[in-house]
Amino acid sequence: MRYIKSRILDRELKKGSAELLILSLLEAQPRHGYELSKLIDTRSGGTITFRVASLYPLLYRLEKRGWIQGRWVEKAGQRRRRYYRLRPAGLAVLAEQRTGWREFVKAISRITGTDHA
Amino acid sequence: MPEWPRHLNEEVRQHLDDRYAELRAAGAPDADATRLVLAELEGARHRDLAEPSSTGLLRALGGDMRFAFRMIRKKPAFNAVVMLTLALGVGASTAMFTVVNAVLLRPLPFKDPDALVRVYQTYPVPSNPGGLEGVSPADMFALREHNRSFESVATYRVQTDPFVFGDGDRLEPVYGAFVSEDFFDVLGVSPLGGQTFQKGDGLPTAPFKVVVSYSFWQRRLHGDPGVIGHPLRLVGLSPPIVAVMPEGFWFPRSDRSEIWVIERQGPPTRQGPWFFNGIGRVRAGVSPAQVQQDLDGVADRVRAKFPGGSAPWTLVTRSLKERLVGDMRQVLLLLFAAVGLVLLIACVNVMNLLLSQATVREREIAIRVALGASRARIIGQLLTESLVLSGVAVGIGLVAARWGTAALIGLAPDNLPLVRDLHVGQDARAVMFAALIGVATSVVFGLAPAFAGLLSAPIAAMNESGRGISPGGARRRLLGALVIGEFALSLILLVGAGLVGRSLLALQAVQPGVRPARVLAVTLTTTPGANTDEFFDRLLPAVRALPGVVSATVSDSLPPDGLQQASDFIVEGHPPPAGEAAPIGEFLNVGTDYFSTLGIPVLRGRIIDERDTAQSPPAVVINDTLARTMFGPDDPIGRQLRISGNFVATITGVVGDVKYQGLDKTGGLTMYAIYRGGAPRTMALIVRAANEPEDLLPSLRAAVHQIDPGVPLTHVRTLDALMAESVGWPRFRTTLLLLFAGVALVLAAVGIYGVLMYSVMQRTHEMGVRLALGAQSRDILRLVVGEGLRLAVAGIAIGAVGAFAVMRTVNSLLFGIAPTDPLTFTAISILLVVVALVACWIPARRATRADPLMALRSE
Repeated sequence: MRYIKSRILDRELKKGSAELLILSLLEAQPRHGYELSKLIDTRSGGTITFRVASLYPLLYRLEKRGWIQGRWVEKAGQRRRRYYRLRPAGLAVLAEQRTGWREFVKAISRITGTDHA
Repeated sequence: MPEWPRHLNEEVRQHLDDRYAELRAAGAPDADATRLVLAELEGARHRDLAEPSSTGLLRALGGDMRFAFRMIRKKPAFNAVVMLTLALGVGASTAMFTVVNAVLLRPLPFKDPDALVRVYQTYPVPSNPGGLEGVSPADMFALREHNRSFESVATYRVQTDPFVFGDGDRLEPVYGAFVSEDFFDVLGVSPLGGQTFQKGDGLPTAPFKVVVSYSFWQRRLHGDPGVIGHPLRLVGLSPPIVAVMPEGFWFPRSDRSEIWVIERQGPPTRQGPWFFNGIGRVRAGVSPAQVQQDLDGVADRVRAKFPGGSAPWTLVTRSLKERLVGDMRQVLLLLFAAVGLVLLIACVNVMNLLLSQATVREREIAIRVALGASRARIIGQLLTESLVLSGVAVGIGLVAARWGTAALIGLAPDNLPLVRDLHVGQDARAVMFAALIGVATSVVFGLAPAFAGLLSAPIAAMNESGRGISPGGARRRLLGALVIGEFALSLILLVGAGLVGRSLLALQAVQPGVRPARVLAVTLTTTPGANTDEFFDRLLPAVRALPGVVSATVSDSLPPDGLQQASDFIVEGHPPPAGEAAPIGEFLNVGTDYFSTLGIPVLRGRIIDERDTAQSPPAVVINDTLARTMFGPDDPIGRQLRISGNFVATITGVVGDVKYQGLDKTGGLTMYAIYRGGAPRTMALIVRAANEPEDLLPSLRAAVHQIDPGVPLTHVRTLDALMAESVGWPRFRTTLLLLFAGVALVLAAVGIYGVLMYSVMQRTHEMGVRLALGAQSRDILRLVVGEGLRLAVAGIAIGAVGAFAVMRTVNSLLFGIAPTDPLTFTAISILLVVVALVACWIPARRATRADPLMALRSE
């Protein structure tokens, strides 16, 4: 990923992988939107950032498809936050997308000769 | 994503707040943090997030509608108040508009109604200068023969007392009019069946004929198409039915026109009598000036033919429409204006409520603007919301208007013409009127919060409380101005209602000159050919002998407005000076005991008693005003009056004044003579009862039928009921004005309450700080109530000036009270202040409960 510099390619790739990223991050535990954006930012080393404009509509779309479920959680001394957790349908999609993504990256690597170490 | 889920707003807001907090925690100064957060938002100028991603306008509209309904469901109480307020305004004004439209706007149901005029005599009578009087057969004969301006002219004569329809053994009053043979031609209305009166039908030798109304035909004649040519069984005459009029034809009796009987009239032998109503159809292209010139010429001919009459009278015309609606125009327009004010107050209130509500919406709107939603799109959304809101309100309002119109017609006195044939709720113009109001108000309401929202800076909306940067002050001032307006409008309405109400009280307090309690009047019509004198001569002693009867008499006219006959008269030997008309007096045929039965005080001389027979020298009793007017300080007893030119009678007594032409009229000159020797066939039997007057009816009926079983008892009423009926119009308008003013008052109270509540909620923090700094509850109370009162008093002051200007124009509707009556103005102002105080109390109490700790913590 870090070798790809083209902005267009970047956007297209992100679009294709956004769902996978979110689902992956929700696999371990429920998280809220800001947390998701921070995680994506830090774990990708700043390469991938989700703007407000794309993150929340995406969450909404995933929720509508029944892959994830949002729930308001109130904690003492904090404002309530909306936590998203993975639903069974989402888990299935995640598994499927993971496989697809791995095969895709493998294929690309074979063609371009890059190593995905 | 056709809908914009609410929770996304909150999530985005929180995201931005988190970012801001993070940046600040990392040491960024406020300005930088704000800039960076805004930059994050800049990136959010993305169609997907900014607004529902609808491609087509229709889809957008559908989304907006769904959204609107969701918004309405979300705040059911608030939106119910908004809708009901608006529905109240729409309903009341639509109902009133329906009546105004029917009476004032719709053309009369005649052919080319604008060409129709009423013809009157006018002459300078001191008591009624410029007054319009009836015409005489002499006038009409001359007019028919010599005019060049009219296509046709006709006369009609409405009898207060009904005809009597005999159906088997049952007798039933039937209301109708005597009309001349060209009556229906003038109006240009064709019958449903048969033929209306023909030339020659009005000759004195011609047989009686009758035309019946559609409703009478349906109700009494079973809609039988074969009735034409068959006699109508009226007591006293059985004229053949020649025609049935179409449904909805009511002229000239707006209350109940059931039959039209041909008026038979030979060529006149004298100038009077003047109890005919003239009506004419003016030829196309003839100017009013030409008509008047023509009429002056006709009057000259009448004077030439019957010299010696009273001097400079002439004939004049007035538009039929104007005459029919004349008295009502002002009242209805006043009521319409009043209901318009109510609507305006309702709108102001709704605007108030929505503006307060806009605080909440403002954040949503500002976020969406910040996220890049186009303003047009947001305005569209808000408009849809208010259209849905006002659409529902108009729907409720129209249902309410249906009831309201029915209630108005029920409330309206019988003599409100053109309303009877009103079909409730079927008035397309009224529906359009309501829809127009709905659209207009919804546009205004829809835009108010939109602009409020667009005005505020996006960052202010992101701020948790919105406090500080939000334009609360400006909005509070706007809301305050609206409340001031509400109070001003309410004051005008209340003052109007107060003045009209006090006029009604004054009218009801007018002494009619009689003691009406426990007096019953029953109309009797003797059978044709019977000796009327003898009938009443035998009846009165029989009635007086009945148990429970204190006294009994008969009369052809009843107070307070049932005058049947007016006659010109002169004091014998003292003709009026040249160029001056003979005075017109009220003339009553009465029985013995008339004055004691009605409780009219005898001032001097001898009143009518058993000595007055058909053979005795004619005697007349006059009222106090006639005595003073004609004789000044001289004693009128023994003097003679020449009445109607040929009846000379000696004045034997003077009695107190009685109202015979309405409680609001003064200065009537009244003459009473015994009925004997010329009693009208229809007279009212008047009985003073010891107890409940209505209980006497069975024994009265028996007494009447013992003498003549063919005489029906019709139109039974107590004198008290007649008194109440006579103030029907003032009561109608007073009831409505009070109703409207009451609604306005409630709305104004809701308005000031809403604004103060909003203000208090905005200032909870301020109040808490004040309390924390040692302010007492009563200081806070004084602060909040003071704010409300300032608005109310400002409104009252402005309203008082407005009312002062408006009330002068309704002077003619007032009786016995000045349009600027200080007591009414003061009382209404105090009432409004009290209402404002009460409405301010609840928000003020709430303000005192602000928690100082909470206020400080949130600092």
